Amino acid sequence: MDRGQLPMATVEGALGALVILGVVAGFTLGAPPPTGTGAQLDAYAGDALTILRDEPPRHGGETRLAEVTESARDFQRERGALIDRIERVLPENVMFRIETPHGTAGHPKPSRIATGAATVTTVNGDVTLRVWYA
Amino acid sequence: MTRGQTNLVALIAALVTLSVATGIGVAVADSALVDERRAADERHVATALSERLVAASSPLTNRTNVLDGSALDGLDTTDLRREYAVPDAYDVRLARNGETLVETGPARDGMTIRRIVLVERTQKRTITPSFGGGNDVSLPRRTDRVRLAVDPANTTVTGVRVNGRVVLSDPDGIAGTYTVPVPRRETVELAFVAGAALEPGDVTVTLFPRRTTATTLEVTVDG
Repeated sequence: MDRGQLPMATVEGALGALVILGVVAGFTLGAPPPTGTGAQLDAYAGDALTILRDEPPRHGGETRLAEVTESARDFQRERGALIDRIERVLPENVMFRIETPHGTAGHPKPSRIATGAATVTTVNGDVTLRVWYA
Repeated sequence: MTRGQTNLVALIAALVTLSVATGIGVAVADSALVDERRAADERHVATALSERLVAASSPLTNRTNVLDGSALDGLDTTDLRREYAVPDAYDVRLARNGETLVETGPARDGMTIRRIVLVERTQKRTITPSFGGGNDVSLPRRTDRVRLAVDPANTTVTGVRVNGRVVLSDPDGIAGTYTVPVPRRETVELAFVAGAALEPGDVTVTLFPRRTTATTLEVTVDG
C-alpha cells in the first residue's frame, strides 16, 4: 500500500466480479431470444399447401396439386396460375418457392435466411413449399 | 499492523463486490427465465388454439383451413372459451387482417400466431333455364346442392338426372320444390325427363355457389 500497490484481495474481487458479470452477459446477450419465426413460417407453408391441396382443379384431375404434378406439360401450362394463386394466398411480406416432381416455380431462395417448409405427398410425388420473409 | 488492517478492508470490499455481482447475475438470469417461460407458455397456447381453430373438426371450419364466414361472424367469447378450451388465465384475441373479430380481454402484447385461411361464404343464385336446345341445363357455377322449383305448364316432368345419374323420379310427375345434392368438383348438367319440350319458367334452379377469400387469422395470447 505504501508503495502504491492495490491490495491483492481487491484486485481478485474485481476480477471475480468481472468474470461473473461476463458469464451472465454471455447468457443473456449471446443466446438470441427465440422469436418463433421458424414456427410461424412453417405454419404459413403448411396452411398454403393445405389450401392448394384441397382446391378443385382448373382443368382435369382430382385436385389442383394433382393436376399440376401430372406431367411436365401440365406443370408448364399451370405454372403461371399456380404462382398467382400462391401469391394471393400468402401474406404480402412472404416469398415462396414451390418444388414439384416436374420443376420448380416462384422466387429463387436466398441463402442464409430463415425459411419454413411444408411437404405434401401427391400421387405423382412430393410437393414442397418453402417460404421466407421478404 | 497498518498493513494487515488495510488488507482486511480490501478483503471486505472485494467480498462485497463479489456478492453484489452474484446477486445481480442471479436476478438477471431469473427474470430472463421467467420471461422466457411465460413467452413459451403463450406461444404454446397460441399455437394450439390456432391449430384447433383451423382443423377440419373445428365448429368454425368447413374443411381444413377453410372457415365458414357466417360461423366466424357469430363467434363470441363464450364460444371461444367453451369450444376451444382456452385457459382462463390467458386473454385471447382473434383478428382478421388486423381487424379484431373477438377478444376475451385486453390482449395487446403477447404472442401472435398468424394462420392463412380461406373464408368461405355461401351465396344464392337463381337461374331460369330457357330450354332452347332440349330439356337440359348446365350450371354456370360449381355448387354442392341445387334447389329445383318444378312447375311445368303444359307437360309433366317424370325424372331429373344429374350428369346422367337419376336423382328424382316419379312416373306421376314431379312438381314442387326439391333440394338435390350435386358433385361439388365438376361442372353439373341437369337433364329433365319430360313428355314434351319444357318452356322457360317451367323450372327454376337455385344454386349455392361458394365464394372464398384468402385472409390471415391472427391469434394473440396474453398470459
